[in-house]
Amino acid sequence: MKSLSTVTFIFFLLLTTTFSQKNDFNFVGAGARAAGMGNAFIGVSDDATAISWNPAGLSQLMRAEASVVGRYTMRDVEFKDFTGANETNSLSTFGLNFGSLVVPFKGVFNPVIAASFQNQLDFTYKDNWVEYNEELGGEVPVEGESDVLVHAGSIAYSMKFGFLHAGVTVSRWFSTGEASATLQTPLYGAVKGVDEHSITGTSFLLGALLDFESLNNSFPMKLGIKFSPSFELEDELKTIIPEFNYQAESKITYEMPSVIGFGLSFRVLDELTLAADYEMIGSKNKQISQNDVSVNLSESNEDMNQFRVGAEYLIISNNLIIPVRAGYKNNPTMRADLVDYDVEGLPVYSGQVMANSLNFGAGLVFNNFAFDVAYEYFDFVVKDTADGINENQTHNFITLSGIVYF
Amino acid sequence: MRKSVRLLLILILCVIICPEIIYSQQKFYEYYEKGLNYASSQDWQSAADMFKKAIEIDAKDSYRKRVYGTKFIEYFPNRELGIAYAYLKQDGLARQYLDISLGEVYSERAEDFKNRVGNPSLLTAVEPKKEEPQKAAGKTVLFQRLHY
Repeated sequence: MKSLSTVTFIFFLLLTTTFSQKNDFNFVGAGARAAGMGNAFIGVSDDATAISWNPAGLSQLMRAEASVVGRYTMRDVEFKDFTGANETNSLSTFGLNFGSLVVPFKGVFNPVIAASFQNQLDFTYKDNWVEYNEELGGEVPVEGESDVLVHAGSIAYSMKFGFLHAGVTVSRWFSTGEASATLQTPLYGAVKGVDEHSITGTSFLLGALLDFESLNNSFPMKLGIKFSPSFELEDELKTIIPEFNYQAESKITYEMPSVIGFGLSFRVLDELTLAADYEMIGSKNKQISQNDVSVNLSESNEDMNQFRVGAEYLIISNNLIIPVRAGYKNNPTMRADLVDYDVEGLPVYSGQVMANSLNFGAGLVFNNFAFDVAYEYFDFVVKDTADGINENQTHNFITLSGIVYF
Repeated sequence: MRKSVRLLLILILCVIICPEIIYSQQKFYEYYEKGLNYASSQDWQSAADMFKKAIEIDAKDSYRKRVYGTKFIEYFPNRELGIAYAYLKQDGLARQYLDISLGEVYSERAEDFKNRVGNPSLLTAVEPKKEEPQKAAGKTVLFQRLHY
């Protein structure tokens, strides 16, 4: 049984730590229009994706809108050791990322109700690596993969009080898919384990938007504020190892960080909008826990501070409106450089690994329909000086949006 | 910490937001849309009041005026105010605003109503299609008005 415990413990460590490493928990709002503007959208929030950015912005809408967003993700992870040997792991996925319906009602305060579906956390990966464990016989090659996605179904309500818009989004999180790992152990041969995840939680997003264009001395600027309190995602985990006829249930708790964000948008011309956001994700001291084992959500155990800037220019011709967009943001990650191991063999991390994203976008706008596309690129290097391995990650995203105006 | 945050929120509400709510106004297109709705129910005085408020904020008639997001509408507050005055039998003001509209951007609807001003029997005749002027101006109809 000791060996069995060892195997299950290793499965937990492998799958849980892999989970935390495969997702940066830097969840942002949805839509190709926002993505094209470097995700600087808290102070804009004037379309059907506002439910995910700042629900207060929904009460700017006067017509019902529906949106659908798809996202193509390309991720390359290259491991390079001090001898120059390298191994690359690539993953490409495309899927529905977001869908929403926004319905404004007649009323004094412009009441608006919205509902949405969004992929919030992406735990998909396919990876090969080698672990060393004496109780399993030494070097253990591991093949791991996951198609686990965490989604959120949300409803929102927004109202307008003079130049102040206020709104709230309530989201119920749930997961689909499972993770598995196959260990080629010298002592037991191939051992495959499957983790069936059932991740649930409830979150709230509060928003306010001050629209200075609605003042008597109007000025085309908007200030958005959003706040999402910390909450917990509970993962009812079922681990199955068929070779050992083993099945166990346990609970993993993800302490999800609070998020506070501020955004400014300024319509310089009818055709030109500039926007800037600051967002702080309180990931410090947030942990992923199972039984007595806990790992930090952020390897550096620091908060994530993000700055985003973006611009949208509308090229207006007789027959078409073509928006062109560009943006930049710093992209803090949950990863940190590994500098050493302590006396217990636990990793010692240094500062947070930071990336920089460049975003571009364009679209076509018609009377009852708008189509947008955005491209985002960022890369970063995680240095493991203790083991002499560098991990180079390259991320490419193509986001496609369609919005229907009723 | 929590107490100070609460105090800050109360301060924002009392000192900044409440007075501003009193002194805030609606957007030009909100007044314009309300005016069109009043006009469609032939409440010409209310329609004129709304068009005047829209003009106070944005006075220029245009086939495309950006509202929110990437959405545009046709925006003719001068023309529609002129038409409202025509139905209110204030012929001088009607001609004045229809001339302003025609001076800014040509529309067949403004031209047509200018010819009807002062002739009650013509005002009760069937109105011309609103979208025709764009074809006359060589533009394709893409942007319609918002609907409440």
